[in-house]
Amino acid sequence: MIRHRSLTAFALALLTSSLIASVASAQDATDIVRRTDALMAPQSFEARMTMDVDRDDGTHRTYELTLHRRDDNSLVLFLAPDIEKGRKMLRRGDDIWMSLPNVKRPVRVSARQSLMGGDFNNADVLRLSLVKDYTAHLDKLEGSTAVITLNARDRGVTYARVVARIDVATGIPVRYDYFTESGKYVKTLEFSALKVMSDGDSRPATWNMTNLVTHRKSVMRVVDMDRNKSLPDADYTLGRFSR
Amino acid sequence: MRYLIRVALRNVFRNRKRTAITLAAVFVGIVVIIFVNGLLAGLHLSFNDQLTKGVLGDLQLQRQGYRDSAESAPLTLDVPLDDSLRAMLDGNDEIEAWSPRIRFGGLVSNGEDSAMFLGMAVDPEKERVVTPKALENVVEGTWLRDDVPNGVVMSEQLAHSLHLKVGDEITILSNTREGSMNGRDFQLLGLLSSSLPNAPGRLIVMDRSIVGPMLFMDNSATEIAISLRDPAHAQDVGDALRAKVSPRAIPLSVYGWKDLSPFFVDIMQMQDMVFGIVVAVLFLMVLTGIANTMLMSVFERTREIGTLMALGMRRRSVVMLFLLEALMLGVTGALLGLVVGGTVVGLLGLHGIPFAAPGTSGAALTVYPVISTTTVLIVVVFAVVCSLVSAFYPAYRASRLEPVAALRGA
Repeated sequence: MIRHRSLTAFALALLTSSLIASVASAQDATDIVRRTDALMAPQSFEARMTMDVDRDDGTHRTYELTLHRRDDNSLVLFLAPDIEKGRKMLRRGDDIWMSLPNVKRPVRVSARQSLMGGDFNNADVLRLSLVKDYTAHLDKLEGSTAVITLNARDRGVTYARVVARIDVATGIPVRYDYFTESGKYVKTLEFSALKVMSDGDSRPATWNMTNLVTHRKSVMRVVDMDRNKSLPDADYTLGRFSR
Repeated sequence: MRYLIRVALRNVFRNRKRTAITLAAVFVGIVVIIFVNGLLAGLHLSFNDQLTKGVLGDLQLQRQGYRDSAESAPLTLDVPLDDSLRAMLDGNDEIEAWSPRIRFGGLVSNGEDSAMFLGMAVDPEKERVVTPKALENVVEGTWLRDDVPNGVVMSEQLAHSLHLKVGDEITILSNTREGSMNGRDFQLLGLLSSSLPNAPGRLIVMDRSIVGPMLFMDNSATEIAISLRDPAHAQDVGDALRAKVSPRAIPLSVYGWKDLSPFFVDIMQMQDMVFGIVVAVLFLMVLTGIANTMLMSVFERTREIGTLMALGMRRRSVVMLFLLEALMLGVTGALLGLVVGGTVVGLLGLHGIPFAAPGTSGAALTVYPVISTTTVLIVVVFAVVCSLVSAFYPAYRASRLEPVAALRGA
């Protein structure tokens, strides 16, 4: 009888501990991802970036842009080349809009549409909160890197699943692998070139996006990011956005 | 022979009514053939004219391989308008004018709703020379104007579906040659319709000086439409051009209007086939008409034939007699038919027949029936062959008669 009781106790202990462990791992994963979000896309910031796009016919384009964020809204302003100066993208919640210099009204665009014909799509650049869009689960540890599976919270999120490799200690991302709903591995984003930026934080300054379907690459380089700078709230409204 | 001719002539006039009826059959048949042929020939000429002078040009240059993916309008398979190409086209004496065009797809919006459209960006000056008839398709407003560079003309169906009026402002969005999205506001200057069936209902024509840069195609085109000084030379000029543009670094293909409108080629072939059936039916009709008359004639004149043979006329001559009579009927009917039919076609050819084909949205095509020497030749041969064939059996029957039995009346 004592044996039976201890067996039950043991089983219970095992069950509870594994539950706690999974909850803990979810907790851990969410914590890690939250830290990544805070580092890579603070609630409010201004960043200056360049995007290099390689095309099928061998031509190459470099765009200069600034990225601004205020909570659930983000803004991209194009600075170069001259032809694109004046182009803007605005994200308000789930909607993304584009404003062109020769068009009076802003145009609603899809999050999944490629930005400037490159391998970063609108969501990649404007939807910045992983915690908001995905639930996180820790798969394993590779040395000091956590391998976390992110599952989309709803259909509106661009990628159904992301496997993120993030440094446990700092929250600095190493690599994201993107998967569609059907499980197809479509893109991979590699982070490198740590750089201390104006607000004192050290972040990867080079983001290499490879499209595994078309075998093309685009590179986003963060020239600078500052969490202490931001645009006034009014700039994130549609009225101000269009002419 | 002269004797036979005289006898044949007399026999033909012997039964006036029957001769008249037979002549009528031949006459009607011939008039119908001439009229339908004239109409079809005129219609085909109209198609040719409308297509070459209103839409396509006499010849077109495109990048090799572009046509295979024409449905997706790929901007990357474009024709770069480099100096050597310009020099070659400008220096060609046979070419009257050449107009580079960019065909692309996109979304047009009236501010609230959007619709898909098929765009064509042109140089208005050059386009005016290469496709002068295109301007006739403007049913409201005006064509592109120099003082309004961001002006467009749009298919009236598309304009109606977006509740647009002439003068309204529209926004156009399209993917550029580089894959990025770009757009611009434009002004609606005019509405287009078409007199040809199968015309695109979502067409927007715009100025290439504005759209080219918008699509990152400042100095290239998806097609070059060419008009020739003498369109009749299209085949030869096309071949010569082909020899020059196929070996280029970016090889180009040369197309005639028939290559570019398989739809019309099919329609014309179908019409020709129907015409062929009509001719066959008429052939039978005329055939039976004459044959019937001749056969009756043989039965009625049995005694007469018997007499002739008894008097020494050879069977051969009897056959010849009947053949001559049939020939006279046939040729006279044909000549009458030619005269009347030709006059009708000639008069209509001056005035023109409005021909609104099914599926066209507006202006009716005017068809000018024509007659050609080929037609006349065909008609004459038709008449002769018909007559002879139809007379053959009766003449044969006549020649088989036995003089004695024939004299008795059997």
